[in-house]
Amino acid sequence: MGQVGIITPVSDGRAGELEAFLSHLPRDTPPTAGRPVITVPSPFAGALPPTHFARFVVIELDHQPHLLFTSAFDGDTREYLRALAATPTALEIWSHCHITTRGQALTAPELERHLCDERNWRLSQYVVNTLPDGVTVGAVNRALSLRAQLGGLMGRAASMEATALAHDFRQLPAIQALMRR
Amino acid sequence: MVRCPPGNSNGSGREEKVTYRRWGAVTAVTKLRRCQRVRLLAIFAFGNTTDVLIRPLLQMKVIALARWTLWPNARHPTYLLFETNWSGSDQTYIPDFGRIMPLQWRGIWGATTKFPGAIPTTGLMEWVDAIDAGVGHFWTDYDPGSSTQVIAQALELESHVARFVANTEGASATEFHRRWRELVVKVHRLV
Repeated sequence: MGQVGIITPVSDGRAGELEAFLSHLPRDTPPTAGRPVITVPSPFAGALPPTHFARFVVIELDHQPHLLFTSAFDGDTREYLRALAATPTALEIWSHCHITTRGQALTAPELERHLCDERNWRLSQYVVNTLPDGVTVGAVNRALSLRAQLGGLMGRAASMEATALAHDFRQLPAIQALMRR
Repeated sequence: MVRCPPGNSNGSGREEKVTYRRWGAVTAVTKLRRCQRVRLLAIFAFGNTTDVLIRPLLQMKVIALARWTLWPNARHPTYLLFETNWSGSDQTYIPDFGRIMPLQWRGIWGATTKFPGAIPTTGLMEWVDAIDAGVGHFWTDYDPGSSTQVIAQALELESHVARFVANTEGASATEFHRRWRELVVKVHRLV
């Protein structure tokens, strides 16, 4: 699993605007007793290599606002950051930051250079990740899907004859995928 | 700082931390006391090679990720950033974290200013609230409904089912049914 953390100074006077922009990006609503979680996809979901967890947050360091971006993801770090830099939302986010000195609008190639500059992400870190080594987002989601499908079959298996049970089991999409691997 | 969507109170007067799907998230920023570099680098190096320090935490099957970062660099760090994601209530996560691992908390956050100690956990909770910058935007590509515990169960279940598939290949319906019953007994706690 790749890990990256990038901290970028926010341009003078733009921290509030950046916080407002981040808070208005699509986000899930917390569940309540009468209402389940409503899943609204992040603009980054599907646009980047698979992401375990990622966050943007404005933090205060040395009395100056900074944008913290961190992610745990599958695949190569540079490819991940190139894909991130190519999204309009990332460009909009980092356009609030102090990256260029020319005073002009930030461009996607400039953002890519900033994000892919190793000096910006070689931070000293201690990371605890509870997934076993090598387990990808795809593997997690496949296992979750298998669990859901098998749970459904177990619920109705008691009333099924042996032949029908074997047939239904082997027809489960998750079992078919497992047999192809 | 962006901390919490408005109206996200738990009814006790204390605001819940931001929760996305079922994932809680904290981003804590703490200033380091002087001359803590060697201590923290030693803990980081040890922690990155073994899970012995955090084994009690892993056994809770609540935490998904924790990351401690030195800023601006490892040579002259002045801040410790801490991020974590978990599934479950933040009313219990931080207190449980503090209660089962007070020495580990002191080992790391003892290097920062104003750390009140992990016990009693009410003081710890107040401190975490004060230093938590929240999350401006967060996402995960895990399927909705997942949690640390459910993911661990699903991965364990998958290995049982893979063996079952291999063992029942070409089996008669009767043999399949016999082995199915064995499988159900073995994995019912995982489904």
